[in-house]
Amino acid sequence: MNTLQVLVVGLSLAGSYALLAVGFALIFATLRIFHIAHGTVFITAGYTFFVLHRVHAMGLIPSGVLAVAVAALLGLAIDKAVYLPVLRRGGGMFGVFIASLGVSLVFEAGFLVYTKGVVSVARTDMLDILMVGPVAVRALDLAVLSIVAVVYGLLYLWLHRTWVGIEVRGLTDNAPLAAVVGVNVDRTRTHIFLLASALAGIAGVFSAYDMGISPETGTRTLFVAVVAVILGGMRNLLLGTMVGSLALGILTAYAGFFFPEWVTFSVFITMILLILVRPQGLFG
Amino acid sequence: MDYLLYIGALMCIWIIVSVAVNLVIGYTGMMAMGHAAYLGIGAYTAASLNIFFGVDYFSAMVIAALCSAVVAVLTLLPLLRLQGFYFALATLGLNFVFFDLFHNLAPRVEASEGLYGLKLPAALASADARFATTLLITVACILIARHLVGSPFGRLLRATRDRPEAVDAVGKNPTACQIVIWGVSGALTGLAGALYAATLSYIDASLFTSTASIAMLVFVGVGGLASIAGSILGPVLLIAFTEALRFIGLSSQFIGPVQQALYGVLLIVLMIFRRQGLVGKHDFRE
Amino acid sequence: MAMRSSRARRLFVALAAFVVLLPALWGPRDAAAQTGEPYKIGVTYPLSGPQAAWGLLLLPAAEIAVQQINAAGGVGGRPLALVVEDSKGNPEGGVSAMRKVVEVDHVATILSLFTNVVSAQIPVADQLKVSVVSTVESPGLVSRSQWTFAHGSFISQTVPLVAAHWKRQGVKRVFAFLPNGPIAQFATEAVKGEIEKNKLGIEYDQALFKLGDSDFRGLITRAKSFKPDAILIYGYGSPEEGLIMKQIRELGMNTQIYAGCGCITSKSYREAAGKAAEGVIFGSFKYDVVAAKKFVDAYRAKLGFDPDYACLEVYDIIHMMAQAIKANGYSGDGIRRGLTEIKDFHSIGGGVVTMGANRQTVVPVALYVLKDAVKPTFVEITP
Repeated sequence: MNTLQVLVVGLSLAGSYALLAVGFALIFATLRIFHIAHGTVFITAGYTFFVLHRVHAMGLIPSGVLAVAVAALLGLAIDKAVYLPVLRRGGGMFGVFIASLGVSLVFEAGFLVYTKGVVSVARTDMLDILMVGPVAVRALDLAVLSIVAVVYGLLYLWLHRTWVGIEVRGLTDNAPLAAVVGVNVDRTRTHIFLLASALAGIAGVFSAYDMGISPETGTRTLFVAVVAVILGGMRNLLLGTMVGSLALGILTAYAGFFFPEWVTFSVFITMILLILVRPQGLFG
Repeated sequence: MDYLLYIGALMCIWIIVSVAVNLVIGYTGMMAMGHAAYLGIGAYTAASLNIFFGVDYFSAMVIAALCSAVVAVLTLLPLLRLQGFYFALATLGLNFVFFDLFHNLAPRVEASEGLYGLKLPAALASADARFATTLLITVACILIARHLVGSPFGRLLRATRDRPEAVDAVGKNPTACQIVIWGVSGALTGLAGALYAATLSYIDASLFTSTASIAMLVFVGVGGLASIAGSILGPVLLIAFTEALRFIGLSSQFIGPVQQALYGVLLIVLMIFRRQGLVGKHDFRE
Repeated sequence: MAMRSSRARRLFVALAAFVVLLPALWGPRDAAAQTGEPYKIGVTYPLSGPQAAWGLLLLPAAEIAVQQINAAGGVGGRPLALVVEDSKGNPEGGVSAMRKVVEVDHVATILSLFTNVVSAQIPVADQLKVSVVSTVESPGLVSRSQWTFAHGSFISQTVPLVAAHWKRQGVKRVFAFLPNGPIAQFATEAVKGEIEKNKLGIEYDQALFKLGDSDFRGLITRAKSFKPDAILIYGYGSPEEGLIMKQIRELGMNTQIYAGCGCITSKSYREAAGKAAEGVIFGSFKYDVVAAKKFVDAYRAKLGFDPDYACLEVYDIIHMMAQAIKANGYSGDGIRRGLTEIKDFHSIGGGVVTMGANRQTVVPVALYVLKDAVKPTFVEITP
């Protein structure tokens, strides 16, 4: 059943975008930073995981956890060492964007030297697949989707039940007002970058395990995640990115089936049409 | 030496593009993230007319600039209702859309991925003539742009950027201004695209990707927003820097990555210490 | 205050310009060749950007060739030397890299890569009278100018071997994955032509994939619904093709996979394909591991893994250039003539090579099956 198989592929893709998208949306919605270097954080986690698990044969879980930790710290470091200096000296969002680009170029260059251009795949075995009739489902996809569900659940609790989370929602809705009522923007900012980068890290670990990563994978996947964010809208961060990721994953899978040469075209035409018709996204 | 003339011609072309992009981003406040699409329209139009229909190159360039202007305006119209981030992302989306169109549908010379075999007039055929002609055209574009931004229309643009409601209040239409300047920007970019095709003597879709659009943003950001001088300085310094890096003696496996890393560091340092770009007069705050 | 900062700004700008241009003004300018000065060969490879993998994996092959030639006494007593520049994998960078190595470093021949880069370099080659040699795939390309040469195997040479194997296996339905570009057209023509010519009665369908993507399962589902007996994957040898192989297996398809070139011998390709590469049958530039031993060992010592078939081609090219210099002296036209005259040249991969009239080499090809994806080990099979 082709439709079912394509749908399964779409869900799998959605799972791979969802974590990267929600992290990006978190940073953009609260701080208005177009964090292109989010893609860098994503691949740094992937490379860390690759080095620990494949090169040094460390176990899956410890490698993954360390990779995510590295990602979280890197994201925070980029903010403190690059974005804040630009902003504190009066720089605007455009300047931050270019600085972010600079960061991604530096890291990509570093990874290129390390890998000599060979793609880095963190596993050597084939994935386990389950056959549901004629439809193949990868065990990895089930794992990713479960983890995404758990993470989104935790994020919901964080946003609605913790002080920091509520402050973050305040920033999303109305940043100047939030500052006036005493939200500690600096501390909340640290939390946001740590969390969003950790989410990117998890996504990076999965990508390194699944299809492998190259230095340019970071920026490329980031643009895909941005499209997912646009499709879903940023008013409701969780619901928006979830729906956006699903929509994008399924659209990409179907486009690949029906008109493989026009996948990018289809995705971006859809995005543009959606922005025109409903700028706040499907769930804005 | 032809190498320097080639680099010089490239600098001129990117100056025209940077001026075009600065007109819309710096002076009018419209974040254009997909201008490589218009560069491509210009390049493909000029090259196709010349190769397949034998149109002489100068006429082909004019037609290319007009086509780009038309395409630019047509693609802008549906986006006018969008603000800030969404407008920017829509322009980026257009870039991707056009890339697929170029890649799948654009004419190609047989067995090749792109177009080559331009029949160039004497003023564009040899490296020194090409540099001289390109330089003249660039100077003309700069003068036009300077005149534009210094004129009442230029003040209107800046007003549209900063206080659109004030523009309305004095009875002018900010949207009309945006359309006009976007068209002008498209025309200049298209013209640059035609010159680009002549300088490389080969074009294919891979030259008109989002990477190119972002490179344009970098030229403008480093040079400085809302500054014609900045749009000259930005590309000149960055291209000079990139080429100068070729002369550092590096072990072969490091050449590419080190050059890229140094470029990245330059961007970071410039944004921290000269946040408005080298000579910018405006800061884009979303 | 404002005036001071504006003057300071101008000073900063002037200083920045000077600093930036300093290396270029002061950089090395090689004098004319003195006794013992090396014969220089330019290299314009992608060393950054998405195609960097190719440049970084092929460059060592050229370096080893140069090292081995120099160790054996060089060319007429003088050593060879490479002058390497980054083409960034696009026409703009390719032309600037070429102009730099020819006009500043005065090389008389260059080694290049990628159809779109070489296409832009051809007019420069004509103007500067310097030969450009590469391993490009497009058949019409190098015949455009007497200054361009290509060395490598074509899909039109490997497809007959693959098709013969299909005949033997009774294959009736073939699905092909090809990259979205003119290369797809050559491949389809070659396959369909072969099917027609031998009346194989094979049904054929294809899907064009985009370079740079990392998920192809939509396309693969399309292949699945075609129910093929054999799958053909062909392209530029980029890891995307290896990824397609892996994703084919991970979608539950056990169809025999064929590849139209020896790309599977590339480390990056095999990393992307993983264990899915085992059992793949591929037609390739002749790669006899015994004949190539001294090169394979040297490459493995330098990089930690075995070279791919394209590395063999690059190694050959350096030797051809050396031969041309020896025959006609170190000059643009001399090397060009020497390359045109290549005949009965012994390729490092085994077999004999001759330069065709259209400046594309005629090379030996063979059919192989990949036994082990790690080392790799592959075995020649009869088609």
